[in-house]
Formats: sequence, C-alpha cells, structure tokens
Amino acid sequence: MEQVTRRNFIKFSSAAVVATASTGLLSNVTRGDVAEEGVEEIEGLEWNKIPCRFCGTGCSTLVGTKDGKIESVKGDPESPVNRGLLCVKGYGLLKIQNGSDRLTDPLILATSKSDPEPKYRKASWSEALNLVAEKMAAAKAEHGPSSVAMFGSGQWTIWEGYAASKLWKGGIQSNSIEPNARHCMASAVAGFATTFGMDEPMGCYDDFEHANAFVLWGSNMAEMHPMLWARITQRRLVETSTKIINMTVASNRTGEMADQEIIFEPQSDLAIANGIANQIILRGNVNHEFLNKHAVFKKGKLDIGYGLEDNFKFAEEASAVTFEEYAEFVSEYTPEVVQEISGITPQELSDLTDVYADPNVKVMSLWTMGVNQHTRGTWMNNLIYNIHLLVGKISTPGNSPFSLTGQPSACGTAREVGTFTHRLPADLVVANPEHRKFAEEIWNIPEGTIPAAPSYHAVEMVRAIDRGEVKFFWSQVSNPFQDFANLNRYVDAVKREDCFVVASDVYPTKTTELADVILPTAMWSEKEGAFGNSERRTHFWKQLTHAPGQAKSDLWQLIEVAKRLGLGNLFDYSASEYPLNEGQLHSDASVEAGFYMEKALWEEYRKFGLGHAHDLAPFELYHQTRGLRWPVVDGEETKWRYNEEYDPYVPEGEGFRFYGNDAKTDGKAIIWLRAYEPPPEVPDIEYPMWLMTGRVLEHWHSGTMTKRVPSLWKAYPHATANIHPRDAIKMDVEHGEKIRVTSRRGSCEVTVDIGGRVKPPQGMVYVPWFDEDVMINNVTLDAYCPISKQTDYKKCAVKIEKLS
Amino acid sequence: MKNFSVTPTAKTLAIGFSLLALVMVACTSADEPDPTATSPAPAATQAPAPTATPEPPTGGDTPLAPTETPVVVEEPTKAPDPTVAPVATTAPTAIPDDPFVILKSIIAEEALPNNYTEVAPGDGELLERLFPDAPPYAPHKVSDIRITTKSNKCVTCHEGGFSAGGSVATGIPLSHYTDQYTLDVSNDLDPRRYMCTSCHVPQVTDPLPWAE
Ligand code: SF4
Repeated sequence: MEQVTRRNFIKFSSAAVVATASTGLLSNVTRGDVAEEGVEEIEGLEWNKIPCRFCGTGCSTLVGTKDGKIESVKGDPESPVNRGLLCVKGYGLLKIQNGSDRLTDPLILATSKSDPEPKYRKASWSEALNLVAEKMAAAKAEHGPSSVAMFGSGQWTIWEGYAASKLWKGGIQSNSIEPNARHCMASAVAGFATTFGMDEPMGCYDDFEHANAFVLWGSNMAEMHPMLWARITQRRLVETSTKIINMTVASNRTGEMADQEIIFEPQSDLAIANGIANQIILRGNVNHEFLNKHAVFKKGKLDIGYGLEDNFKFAEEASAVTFEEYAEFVSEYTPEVVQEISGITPQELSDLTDVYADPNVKVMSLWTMGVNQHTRGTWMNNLIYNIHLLVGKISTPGNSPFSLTGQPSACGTAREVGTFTHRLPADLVVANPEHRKFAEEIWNIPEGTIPAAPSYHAVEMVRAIDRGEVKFFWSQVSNPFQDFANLNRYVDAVKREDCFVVASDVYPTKTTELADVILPTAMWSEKEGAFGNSERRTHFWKQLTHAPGQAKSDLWQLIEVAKRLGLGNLFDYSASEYPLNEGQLHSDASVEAGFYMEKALWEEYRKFGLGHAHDLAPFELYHQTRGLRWPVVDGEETKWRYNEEYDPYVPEGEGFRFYGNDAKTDGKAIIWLRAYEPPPEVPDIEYPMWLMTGRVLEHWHSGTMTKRVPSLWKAYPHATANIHPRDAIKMDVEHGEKIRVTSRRGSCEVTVDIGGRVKPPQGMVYVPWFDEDVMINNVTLDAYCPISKQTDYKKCAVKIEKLS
Repeated sequence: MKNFSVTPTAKTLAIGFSLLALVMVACTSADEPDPTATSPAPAATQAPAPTATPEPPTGGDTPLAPTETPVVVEEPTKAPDPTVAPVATTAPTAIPDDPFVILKSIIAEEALPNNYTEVAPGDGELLERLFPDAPPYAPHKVSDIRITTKSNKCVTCHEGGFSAGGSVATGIPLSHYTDQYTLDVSNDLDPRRYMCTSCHVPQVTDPLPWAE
C-alpha cells in the first residue's frame, strides 16, 4: 500500500518540487521496523526535513514534531545523499537540544577567569550585549581593529557565517575572523587553490556509484562519514570487482571492509604519492594527450618550515618546469626509497599504481584529516591531484580525487562564504583590490572599508592573545579551548584579564569556562538554517521548535551587537522585498527585524557568485528541494565541474577546462613538484611513541552535544588510549588501566584500550579528542602547514607511564 | 516591553571608531597560498582604486550609521508564534534568588574505562531505545565482530531471527530489505545497511553520570 502511494506520488510530482508537504505522506515508508517488533509508534507527528548537523556527509533527516517538540528523527528517503538512512549520531539528534544543563540565560563573569570555580551572574540580553559591544569598541579604539577577533565555525549556518564576515570585514574593519574549519580543511582549500585556482571538489557523491576502485588516503570513513561509507560498501558488494584500498597509519574499521589495508609511517604519504607518480611514468601510463591540453608543471619552495614560531611567515616562489623535469624529480622515489621512508613494500606500491594506471579502472581517491591535518597538508593535496592529472582520471563520473570535508557546512559556510582572515565570499580575497571593491559594492559600504591585509589565521589568533595583541575574542558554534593543539599555552593566555572572551554556546564547555560573557544560543531546529556539504550541495531547513529560556540564535546575537556598534544598517533590508511568511515559524533574527532576514542575507550573498562559476539558486528553491550542487545555472545543478559535458562554464569544444586558472595558466591545472620532508617532531629516546588523535563514530567534535545523548554516551562514554598489545606488555599495562600520556608540552590521563576499533602499530598511541575529561590537546603539537596554516593533529612524540 | 537606550555607549563607540579607522596595526600576514581566485569581473571597473590607508567609512562621528540619533535597542522578548505551541523549556541552572551561578557540566567526570557488556550474543536482554524509531542497540558483546566483505556475523545471526540456545535474535526488519529511494523490496539485505555497526552500537553497563 505504502509503496503504491509513494510510486504514484513520484509519477505525479517533479522531483525538484518535493517539499515538506510530501514528507508527511512519505514518512510512513520508513516505518515497519518498529511495528514488526511491537514497539509503540508515535501518532500524529508532523514531518519536516532538516540536514543532520554533524558530519560533512550532509544527510537529510526527517524530523517528526508534535506540540512543538521533536518526537522522532529518521533518514529522509527523498535525499539523494543518504536515501532514508542515518548513522547512530543522526538518530541521536533527537536529544542534542535538551540536556539538563542547557544554557538558558546570558551570564556575566562575577569572579576571575583564573578562579577554579568561576561564578557568573545572570544578566538580561541588553546588559550582556551592551557589555560585549562596549568591549569590542574599547579594544578597537585602544588596540586597533585587528585586536577584535571572532572564532567561528564550519557549523555556522551560511547566513550566520555571512553576517559575521560582513560585520567583521565590512563593519568593524577587522580581518580577525577565522572558522574552526581552519583546523579541518584549510589544506584542502589551499590544495584546490594551488592546483585548480578554485576551491571544492570537481566531482560529487554520484562518483561512488561509478568508480571501480576507492583509495582512502588517511580517512577512516567507516566511522567518520558512515553514510558515504554505506554507499561505497554497496558499490563493493554489488560490483564485486570493485577494489578498496585503505591507506592509513593505524588499522581501523574502514580497513575491515577494504580489500587491502596499507599501513605507512606518519608523514610518509608524501613519498608514496610521488612513488606512484614515478611508477605511472615508468610504466608508460601517462595520458600525454590530456596533460598537454590541460596541465602545466611548477616547482615551488622546498624546506618550508612548520609554523612553530610566532609570527611565522611563508611566501611561495613558483617557477614553471617541464614534464621531463617533473619526471626526473619523482624518479628519486623508487620503490626502495619509498619503502625506506614509509615502510610499504614495492608490491604494495605496485598495487596502488595499478588502480591509478590501468585505463579501465575508474578510481576515486578520498581523504580527510590524515591528509589535511599535516605539516605538508597542501603538498599532500597537490600530490593526489598530480596522480589523477597524470592519467587524466578527473572530472568524469567515477574518476574523482575527492576531498571529504569534516563539518556539515565547512564547505557551505567556511569555504564558500570565506570566513577566513584572508577571504571574502566566492573565492575572493581581501588582498585583491578589485575583490574588495566588488564586495564593498554588494555590501553598499564606502570604498576602502575592507582592510587589505589579512590579520591572524587561527593559530596566530590564539598566539596573538598570548602576546597581548588580541583583546577581544568571541567564539560561536565552536569550542576552541578544547580543540586547539598545545592548549596549555593558549588556555593560560586567554586567562589574561586584558583579553575579553565571549562564548556563544548551548552547554557549559571548556570554552565557556574561560569566558567573561556566556551567551545562551539557539541551535539546529531552533533556527532557520543552510548548510553546504562535501559535494557542493547547499541545503536549507526551516525552524521547527523554540529555543529554551532566553537562548537566541548566533545570527540574532551578531545583528544585535552590530546595532550597538552603530552598524545596524549592515543588516537593514526591505520588509516589502522580504516579507515574513504567514504561518511560518520565523527565527528570532527575522522576528526582531520584521522581515525575512535569512532570505535577505541569502539573496545578497549569492550576488558574489552569480556569473562566475559559484552560482547559487534563489532562496525558495532550496526549501523546496533536498539541496542543489553549485554552480546552479538556469535552475540546473552541476555534478562534474570542469567537464564540458556537465559544466556550463566549460566552453564548447574544449572537453575540459580548469577555468579557475584562466588568468594564471590559461585554464590548465598545475602539477606541483612537492617533496617528502620529515615532520617537525619524531619519536626519540625520551618521547618514544607517536601520538595520533581523531574522532569516533558516536561523537561529534568536542562531544558537547553527543556526550549528552544517553545512547551515545553509553556507546562511547570516555576517550581511551588505543595501543598495540606488545606495547602494553612492554609497559606492563592492561586493558582498562590508567596511563599518563606526556609530550614536551603537557600531559593527560586516560585509560588503555587494547584491541579496540583503532589498532595502532607498535610505537603509536591513538587518543580521540571528543572527551573534555581527557584533554589530549594539552599534549598535541601546534605545528601547521606553512601554506594552509592547518594544524597537524596527527603526529607528535609522547611517552607513556602507567599510573598505579 | 521596555525600551532601552544605550546612548553613552553608542557615543563612545562612535568616537572610538572614527579615530581608529585610521589606525592600521601591523598584522601578521596569513599568506594566501597562491591567490588564484577567479575574478568577479565587476561591471564598473573605472572607479578609482582604493587608497592604501582606508578612510573612515563615512565622515563625522558615526561609522556607517547615517543617523545621529542614539541606537535604541529593544529588550528582546520571545515573540509569540501562533503556529507552534510553547515548549516546556529545561530548568535554568540556578534558583532565581541566588545571585551567582556556578556552571556545572553534567558530563564532567574523571577519565574512566569503558565497561561494555560482556554478555554473549543470545544472552542479552533488549535495551530500551532512545525513541521508538531509533535503531536498537547491541545488548551483547560486539568487540570481536569484524564485518568484512566475506563475513558478517551480525547478519548471520539476525537474518530471519536466528535461534541460539533457546533465545531468538532480533530479526532484521523489512525496511532493511527495501531500497528507501526506489522502494524496491529485495530478498537480499540492502547493501547500504551492511555495516550494521554504523547504527547498532553496544552500550556500557555503567549508569549515566546524570539523572535523565
Ligand atoms: S553524522 Fe554524518 S553520516 Fe551520520 S547521519 Fe549525520 S550527516 Fe549522516
């Protein structure tokens, strides 16, 4: 019966306009599970779509509400991303908003930040926001605009990030704005920018159903992108010739489903990638026709440093080279040399080469933090593109170097809106006078308002707090004082009385502990939102529930502060142009303004990308669909960019064109000569082990939300230190016993897990960072990629002691 | 609803801003790796290029704010909405007459080991779900189960509700044989559901650190 209903429905409706109206009808389809087991179903729910607010996969959920309360969450069968499925975190969404310690009132610090148990005073919004605005103005007046800093997020909705960026760059005239996404995908951005001149993947998730081989370069997808892993699993099980190779420094759950797991030494992926390129050349598998038309070769600086010192600077010096020079460069990476550096065998190198070199294999390379959180992260991104370009396996269905993003809107907000110190929306940069002028015109602000010089990238921002340069620091949708590496230094720094800290959050966190003002914040279903996922898909949701107590959205907070700074006109749009919809639950920001704030911001924001390959669709279309992949030209999304067959921006007859490089290389991609260089800190006699950090399936980032969901807490309550059984014997520790992990920077206590999901080789310990009770970032090293400024959380040297 | 004026603040601010717009602090440079962003090709390019030192956005005392009247900010209130019934909110963290609030995180704890159930498959008792539509948890030990392309012990036992030593495993429901996108029903498990552990997670035996 239900199936007939749904089939009929599809026949009579265009897929593009399947909106919330249909979901009430369709929701029954995913039922069946509970009925069969005799569990009571909840009757009378109203179903609406909302993207999951956790990982970069960007699943769509259907949320069932009754009397203004969320009663059920399930996978959205209409979404092409997850097609009715969710991972365990997705179901956990039901309880993320109602932990009993939810922040519901603005709070002002009544004692000192160094007080071990700081006391707060409840305040009205007016008092709290006046104080915030006053401190911002004072910092700007006494120390200059760059001393006023915002630390945002890849979990900001698109309009929140846009409003913050507009307020900071176009209002306060400070470029001191950064997202936590600097820690998660800056190397991916720099990789795209340096190779293609334009950010974000050329391919899309449809590649999963076309590829015959998947090579994972430092991405434990089975735990971190579970619903994309479901699609790869499907492909592997249905097309049995499909091959999965898991390249990793520690055996993991992804490896269980892989056909081959290749364990390499930390940092040695650089040598392996060059080794593959060398083999492709030696085997005669280079696609010269593609290369001649679509690529050039360049050599950059070598020995570029690690960003360990304050005020570190890097400037690239690039020069053109020939294919022959490139071939000579990679010829040093013989199978023997690769083995010596990485530990992988010549046979393994040959197996890897096979999937890239064989013209009959369509190959997807997939990577996340292993490649991006890397002191040579940009280089490693370049090297993967090099391989795909050499064989011409790019921008066609199934042939896809695919950088997976971590956060739900790292692409949509951090990257596309450009909430970085050096960026403006749609790949524009503050350093370019034309770009600034373009932004100033759209923002209707006087020419010369936007400062030309970037100020602080994320790590420099907290270092600048320590140096006494940043005097005001506001964090939204992030938890910086759990997530920065080498935290001891920065936690001490932020306790300075002369740096005023504001934390917008939903629960008490390691960051609110250090705040002078805590702003209780609305989240997810409590506001209208927009995210952009890994495959360039922009998707929207409408507000469904009210925030508890006095909690208000980040957008509302930003606009209210803007008003107090005399900058309210940045957010003053026409009520007749953007009227509120009758019967719709509008966000606090829209209600306060008296017009549809989100729509107004969206329509302004999309002016940045229209007509130059970042086209976004009109507002309403996103509420009617399960999202669209940009560029959206004439209402049509783009699945494969740079390919004439799919991308309207490629001129007729060219086949392919990497048009992001039009100005620089006449539309050709750049193959970079990038070397293996060792990491800044390696195990030695005193600190004999590698430390690697990461996430686990059940928890999101610092665990603020997921640790408050009973079933997720119970599935993985505490972070553990995973070590090899032989190391355990050597150190005389048993599973469940407590150890101390110590580096040159700090230490942390944690219990040992032997034989858990992540199985490091001897000489390595793995500790996830989700647990505020196991502050592993006191131990990590704040070295970063000199080009992308992204921190390497994956490797530093530690020692382990058993605690009695 | 009372109106609240922030005149003194706004005034101080404006003065501060106008002085400061001229002050550019020396900033560390976040070098754009290779600034290759596509040009926006703005329509009007004949306007003079901005000067190196940005001028205050507008003359006078107020940056960007064309008005001389003080900024009036309304005390925010929760706007009543006819479409959604009011929600019962969680209790604030302090009693109203207590002047001070000490923030207590319900998840703050010592780092402890994770004590997963050691119960063998077949001996576990069904655990209550997070909500009726949520996937059930594994009430038994799963740490030694590896799901590979060749073997999936979860499916072996749960397909059709396998009977082990008198107890019956929870059967895999029909939804898992139905492609949720096309709605085709198959005799085989939807291959996207093969990684059972993406949803069906084990639970520790320890109680939650907070009261539900
Ligand atoms: S956490 Fe990721 S995979 Fe899981 S439901 Fe959310 S978006 Fe999907």
